Amino acid sequence: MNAFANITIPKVESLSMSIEGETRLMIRGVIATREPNQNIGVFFRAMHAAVLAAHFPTFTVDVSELTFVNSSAIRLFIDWAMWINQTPVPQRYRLTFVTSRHITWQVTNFSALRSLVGNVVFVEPKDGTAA
Amino acid sequence: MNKPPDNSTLSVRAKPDEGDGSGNRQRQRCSTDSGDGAFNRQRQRGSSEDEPVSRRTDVDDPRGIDTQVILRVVCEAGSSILEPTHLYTTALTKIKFRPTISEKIGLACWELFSNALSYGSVRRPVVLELCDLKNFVELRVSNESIAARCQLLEKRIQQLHIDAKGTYLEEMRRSVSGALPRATLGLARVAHEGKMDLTCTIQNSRVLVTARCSL
Repeated sequence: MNAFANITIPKVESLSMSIEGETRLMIRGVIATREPNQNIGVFFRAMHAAVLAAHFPTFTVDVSELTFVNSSAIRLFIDWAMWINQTPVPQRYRLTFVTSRHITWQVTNFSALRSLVGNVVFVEPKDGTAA
Repeated sequence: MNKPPDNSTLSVRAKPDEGDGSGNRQRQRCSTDSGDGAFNRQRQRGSSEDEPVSRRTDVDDPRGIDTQVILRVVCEAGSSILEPTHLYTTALTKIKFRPTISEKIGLACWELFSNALSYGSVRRPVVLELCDLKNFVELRVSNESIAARCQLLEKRIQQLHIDAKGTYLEEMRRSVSGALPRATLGLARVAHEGKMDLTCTIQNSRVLVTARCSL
């Protein structure tokens, strides 16, 4: 059974999210809403819980086509990393963000996030090697 | 409002819904104009509470720089105009400037305007202006606020002048640790990620924040 079968992907203007395969979330568009935690944050939390329940060792979030996010949305990715960090070590999974080298917010923010919680967050530029 | 005009200055005025008390703020008064006819017409109708910062398309910059105002938005704090303004500004700057410039302006537009709408006083309008200074493009956002908040903003921008990257990393660290007071990433992103020059001018209780980048 699909680990994410019971999760509803929220409809957000200018944003498209889809679960691809077993362990990959694709996010395209822009996150330009004032309180993204109310829908996207809730969805991320549900995804995190499902990944834990399914005992997946890794999960990938592809943001390479997410062209703009506001600072409230940056916190969503930080929160996701922190949920893993607060999970007992044996249950943790590896969260990989697939990014684009051509989108400035991704280069800046994910390298900073990796420097802060590099034990659980990994960054894989679409045109390069994993960090 | 997400389709920009070809070659005109856009003037937008917006006010929160004052009518039914339901909290629904969808009703907004907007207008597009080449120049500032919209402001003048509004003023003739007797709306004296919203004084735009400038009433001319080409304004005399106090620094002696030839300035063309490309976009001007005048609204009250609390207006639900942030998303459409960001969408419009991004679309407009994609037409007028290189993609990297559009990306920077889009970021500054969201973060500065969001702060002004959230923390500005409703007594005086929030004003956003996008200005072409020939060799630079500048986003100016002004609002009324209490002295303590103005001073806090001034101090934060001074910190960003000294060390934009360090301040940004510190804000990220605070976000990760969940430390209080809540991290304020927006300005740090404009300075570090957008590599924009931020300035803050306070006159009486009105604060003007500008974000500038080279063309």
